[in-house]
Amino acid sequence: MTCEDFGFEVIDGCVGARLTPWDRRALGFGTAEITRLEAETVDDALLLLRETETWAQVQGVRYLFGRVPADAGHLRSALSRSGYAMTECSLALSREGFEDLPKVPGRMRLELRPADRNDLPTLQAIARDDFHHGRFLEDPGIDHAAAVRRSINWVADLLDQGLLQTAAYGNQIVGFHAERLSDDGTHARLILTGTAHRYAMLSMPLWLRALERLAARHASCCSTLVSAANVGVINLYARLGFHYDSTQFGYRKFL
Amino acid sequence: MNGAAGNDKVAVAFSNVLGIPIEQVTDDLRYGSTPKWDSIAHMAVVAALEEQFSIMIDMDDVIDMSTVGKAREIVRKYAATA
Repeated sequence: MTCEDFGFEVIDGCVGARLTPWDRRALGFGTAEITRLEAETVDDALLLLRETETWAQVQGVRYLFGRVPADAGHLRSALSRSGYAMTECSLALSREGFEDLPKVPGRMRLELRPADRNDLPTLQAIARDDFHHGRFLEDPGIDHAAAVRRSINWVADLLDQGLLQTAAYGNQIVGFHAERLSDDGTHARLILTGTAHRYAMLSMPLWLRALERLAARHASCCSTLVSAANVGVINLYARLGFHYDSTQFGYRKFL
Repeated sequence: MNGAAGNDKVAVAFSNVLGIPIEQVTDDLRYGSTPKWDSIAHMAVVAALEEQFSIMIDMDDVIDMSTVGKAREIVRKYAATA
């Protein structure tokens, strides 16, 4: 789904990047994301980063971000030597199949329904008050209010894209969930899931409801990316039988 | 039912589910105050209390059950109406 605005190759490597206007809207300055960085040597990686920054500066980008595998020492070396700061760590998780999920007591079952405009203020309040993890929220170089604004905007964007589900019991909105299914419907990317602080004890039922729903739609696997700082959610995914696929370090540079 | 003696069924349920010594199950033990009482454990606590006391706990009470003391009140309420 990555739509790259920039690409550059060397013999044994390549870089791709895209502008991220949704981040710019919240942060108030130009932003872009390196979507792939592959190189055999530190020198190649340095060259690829220089080319990317040249493109980014022409585009008015001030904040350039990218993730690399934690075990890619040569890429991390190139990023550090190019003036990038490591600002976050994420874990890529996945689960094959939806069998053997924990059972939810009947009265703790939540409803997941497509979110509508009337839900939005409540859902945005949850994003504002109860979300504390994410690459901008964890970056000490980003104004906290701007990072929160980005979370709030994200929820509205997911609603506009028809991806946002409201988690509720009765008339009470307790949280939300968003996922994106692959074109063939077999793989789901879990985008954003969470409860209001008051309903934190319903987190497990919410995640289970989301996974049961995917099973009912005949998806065969799902994956997600979680901040390593979000220990509660990591434990939850562990209990849900997710596999830890990779660790990625996030780097950014103010240009 | 305010102590944490071995015959305190609420405390025993919490001790078993959270995997902590019964002496540490005090009335002011709060959801989230220990990593062991997370949303997964909360689900198991509710199931354990329902089984132990043969009651069905409503969602509002599941949410209000934020401390062991509150759980004790809720169980007492259901037991009284059983």
